[in-house]
Amino acid sequence: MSLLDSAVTGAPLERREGLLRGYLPVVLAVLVLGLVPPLAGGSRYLVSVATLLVVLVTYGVAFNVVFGGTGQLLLCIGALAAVAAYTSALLSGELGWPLAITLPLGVALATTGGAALSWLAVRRRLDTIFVGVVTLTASLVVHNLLLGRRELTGGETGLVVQAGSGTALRDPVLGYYAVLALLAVGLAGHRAIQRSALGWAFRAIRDDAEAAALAGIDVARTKVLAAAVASALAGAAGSLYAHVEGFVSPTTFAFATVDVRVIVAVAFGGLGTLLGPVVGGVVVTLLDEVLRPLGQLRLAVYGAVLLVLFLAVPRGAVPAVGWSWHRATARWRGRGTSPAGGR
Amino acid sequence: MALLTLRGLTKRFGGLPAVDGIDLDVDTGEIVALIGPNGAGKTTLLSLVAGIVPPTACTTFRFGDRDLVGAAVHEVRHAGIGTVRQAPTRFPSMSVREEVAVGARFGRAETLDHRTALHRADEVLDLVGLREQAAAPVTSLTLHGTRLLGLARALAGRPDLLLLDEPMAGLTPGELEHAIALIRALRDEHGLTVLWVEHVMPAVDLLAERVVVMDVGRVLAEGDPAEVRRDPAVIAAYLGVPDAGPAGWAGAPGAAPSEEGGPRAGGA
Amino acid sequence: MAIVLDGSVLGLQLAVLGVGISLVFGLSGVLDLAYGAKVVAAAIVGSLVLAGGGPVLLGVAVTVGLAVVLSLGIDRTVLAPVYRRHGEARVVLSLLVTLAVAFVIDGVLVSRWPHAAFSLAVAGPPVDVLGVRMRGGSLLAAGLGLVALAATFLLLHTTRAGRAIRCVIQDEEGAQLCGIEPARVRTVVVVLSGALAGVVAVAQGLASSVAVADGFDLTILAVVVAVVGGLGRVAGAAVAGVVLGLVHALATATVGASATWVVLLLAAAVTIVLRPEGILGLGGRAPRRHTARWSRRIAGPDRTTDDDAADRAGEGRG
Ligand SMILES: Nc1ncnc2c1ncn2[C@@H]1O[C@H](COP(=O)(O)OP(=O)(O)O)[C@@H](O)[C@H]1O
Ligand SMILES: [Mg+2]
Repeated sequence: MSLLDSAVTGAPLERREGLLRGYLPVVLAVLVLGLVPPLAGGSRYLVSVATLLVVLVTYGVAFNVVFGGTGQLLLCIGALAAVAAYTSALLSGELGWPLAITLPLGVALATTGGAALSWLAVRRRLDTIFVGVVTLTASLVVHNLLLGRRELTGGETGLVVQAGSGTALRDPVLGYYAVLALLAVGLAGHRAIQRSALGWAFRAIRDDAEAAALAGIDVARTKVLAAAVASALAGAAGSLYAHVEGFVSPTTFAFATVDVRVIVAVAFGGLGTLLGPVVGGVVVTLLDEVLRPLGQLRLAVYGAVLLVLFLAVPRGAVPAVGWSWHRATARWRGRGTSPAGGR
Repeated sequence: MALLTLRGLTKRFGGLPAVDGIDLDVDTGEIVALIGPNGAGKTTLLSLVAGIVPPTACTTFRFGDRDLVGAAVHEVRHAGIGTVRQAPTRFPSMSVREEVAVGARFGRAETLDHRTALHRADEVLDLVGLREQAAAPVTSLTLHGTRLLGLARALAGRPDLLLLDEPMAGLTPGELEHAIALIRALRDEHGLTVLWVEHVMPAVDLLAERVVVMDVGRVLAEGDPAEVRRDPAVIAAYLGVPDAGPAGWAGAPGAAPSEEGGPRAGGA
Repeated sequence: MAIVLDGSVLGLQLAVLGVGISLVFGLSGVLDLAYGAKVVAAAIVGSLVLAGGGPVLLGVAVTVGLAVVLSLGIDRTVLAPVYRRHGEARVVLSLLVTLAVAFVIDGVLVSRWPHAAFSLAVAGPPVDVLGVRMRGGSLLAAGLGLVALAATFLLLHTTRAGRAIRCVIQDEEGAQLCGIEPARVRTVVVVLSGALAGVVAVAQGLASSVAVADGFDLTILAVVVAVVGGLGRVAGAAVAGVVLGLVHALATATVGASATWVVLLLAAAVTIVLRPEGILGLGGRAPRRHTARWSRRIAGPDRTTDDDAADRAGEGRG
């Protein structure tokens, strides 16, 4: 039963399960999410909520890799997604370039942007909060540019994404499976990182960056790499979502829409854990939907619930469950130790 | 043949030199002790070699056949220099075995795989005597244990040169004996070269083949322990630090001054 | 000239915002993401007083008073568990908790008074200042900001409490060893920061108006100003606020309103990257070695509260 154990706490470095066991949590999570369209009984609304959920979770995985992995508070996930989405939508829409070119191009642009920000922060040795504020200003700059260059972006009214109409992406259910496939790639990628030398380097850097460098880890390269991976994933999710929805606006990618929800979801789910973004994303989305009938008071109740959750499980739900599970099974296994990692 | 060659190594903190134009050679297989009053610049010198602190100036920094001027911390490590700092830093989320395995995995330019790294960690834990604590969280170790962990992490990366910063301060007599025997074994049986900052003079006497005395960022004297002990400049530098200088040299281990000890000679 | 004056009016308000959030962060490592929400809440309640026919001064008093009460109330309740953590864990948890608090405040305001706005109309014709015609409200707002900043500096630099605050900001452990009670200092700072939030509300009401939806933007501006100033540096935050206000006015005049925010934010980002220690550099900060002397003079006999003891214990475990 150590299977669930390792899936929720992130195995200690030294224990590495076989391929099957290692990736089983990813497979299970994706399978469960894959059941949504058949269970939704043809409700377009439910499928579109679920699509948004899966995209949010994918952003969460990206944020989790860069912040949970290397401690870089990259507060421009939404902006990176916007860069990729608008690039692809505009190049395909205005110039008629095929999606097969513009999608990777947008992702490449977002990747470069995220990596450049990280490189800057590493070079200037910026602290967590400073990285956060620099990337926050970067995302506000992107937001204001999208609003300001209305002749190109349509400003706050948004942009109807021409490219991709008529393709399978626009079918709600197939579109849902497309974003889910990307999430599967993201989760599997995160798992692969955790299992590789890069995952060890992440852990060491999170624990103590100077000690990590003394142990021989190229801290700067690892951090920039983490930011690049996260930006690529966020960019891919953003532009895929744009083509599935057929519409983008600055609000789709605004700091308050994306980054705030991502932080809340990942923090609640459990920073750095494989399934944290999934659990957190589902809870945040459910909370949104459950509170919808409250109308305007929704935000207040949402905040109150979050407050209670954060104060009750400050380390996140996934580690909390992992710990209880571990404690419950420790007696049964006859070992009273706690997991050395806790992640 | 010199393994490590330093020329003109200088570090100023806001104008004041902490290390002031140091020239130093360390031969392969040597055990060199670096001594000097508090604030002499010993820790800064080691940090400069390790790449943790960027130098203000440095004309030569050769290690074997590598030129390491301006090298980053991990590049110095990959070249074969293992560093254990004065207050060893740890990876608080890891077990002893995992932390040492991290050192094994990334210690050289070619990254070891998962299994080899753990295997290597076990070997090193046997060597330093931490095998029993392998599964314990690193945060549960004693001071001596933490120092051994730092040493093990450095050793796991297969260094040619070890830089140690006061590995023996504050140890009990038994632990001190263990530490001395360990360093000797590392050189005799594993062929390591050791450059080592120490305040515990009996240990210096027992281990060092060559002593380099630093004061106010410069090399004051250099030679075998007995020779250095008689040097008038060294005696002068230690004046005002009772028990620290040559007079207290043969005292009990506990009598050695700690880093927080008295005023330093030679002014601020 | 007009640019300088316009910029100063905005800049002084930004300065007050930045100082308000920076003080608390410097003291306790809590970056208050509910700061803007507090400003708006205070302003809206002030507007209710005015709408109910209350006199202007009462409205102002209620606004500032409510900001203080809100600040202290939040600090004493939901932030208490945050103070039991240390280092990065505290920073991250404080971000999450204050964000949730901001949601609660915003949510209540939006649902109860979706269209309320706080504005203090100042009668009278525009006034000529150095050849530029300025609205009376703007001048009053600038004056208020200036007075608030001056008062804050006087408090920090001439009173015993102020010295204690600066001690704790520079070196919490050292201050504690000298017998300063961080808990008491925190109370003073939280009240001060709340009062500054109230001042921002009133000044904004004078210069233009405060709407329910403004909380988020105010918070972001406050954070940006505080960080450009070098987080936790009060003088830096004040200077950063004024400078960014001037940049804003300059950008409005040259590149047009739509690109103004881009210019402002880029200026902020560049400053942070070039000078992470703050716009004033390290020179803006008193040298550490003075700390002990100050604190011994002001603090009197050794005392620590149970709160602190609990904090320490928590640290040991973490
Ligand atoms: N990071 C630093 N910033 C400013 N001064 C420093 C720093 N590190 C060391 N120093 C100064 O450099 C001098 C040498 O310090 P150090 O190398 O630690 O001496 P030692 O290890 O010989 O006791 C001391 O005067 C110390 O105050
Ligand atoms: Mg030293």
